[in-house]
Amino acid sequence: MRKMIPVVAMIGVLVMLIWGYLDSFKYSWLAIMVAGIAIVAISIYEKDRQNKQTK
Amino acid sequence: MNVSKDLIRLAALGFVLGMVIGDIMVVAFTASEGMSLAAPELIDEFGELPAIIIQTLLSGVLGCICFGATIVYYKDEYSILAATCIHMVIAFLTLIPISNFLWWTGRVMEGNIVVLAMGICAYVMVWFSVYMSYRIQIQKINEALERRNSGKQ
Repeated sequence: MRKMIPVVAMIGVLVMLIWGYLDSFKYSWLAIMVAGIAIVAISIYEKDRQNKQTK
Repeated sequence: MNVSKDLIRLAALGFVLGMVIGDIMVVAFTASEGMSLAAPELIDEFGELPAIIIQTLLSGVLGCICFGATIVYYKDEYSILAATCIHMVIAFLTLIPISNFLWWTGRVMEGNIVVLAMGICAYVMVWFSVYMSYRIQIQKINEALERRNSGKQ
């Protein structure tokens, strides 16, 4: 799951650039925001899982 | 520990995360002006698409260097204070030129001073939290050793 973080980040950046290039950059920042939220969610989940394992 | 392998791994992760973090920060800071993916001055200078690509790549470079430099924390020969100071110098030497080029600080001295002051505050907090975390760990190890020794007697 942790290995998904760079993949999600790259997908977010690519979607943002392609969306902006094909349509407009007015709303393409949403892609990077969604990627950021997904990365934070994965990090929290992984941290929680690690804490449970160490207990 | 394989330093060069770890350095490459950290730098690569830093590059992709830096791109995302840099763009999110700019969107957040331009929220009052209608959510832009790059500073308006940078867009005026290069055009929208090139400005956003340049900013995304340079944010990645910044993340790459800052993340890669965290390797100093894994080196046993440096104290936490020394490691934090080395990381701070590396981060500032990268951040100041990039933030000026990307118009994050408005290319004025006041902007740079604000960034430096905020950065120093952040590093003091980082040093304190790392120091306290190690202190608690050592305390726990000492308590465990004491329990073990008292059990043997």
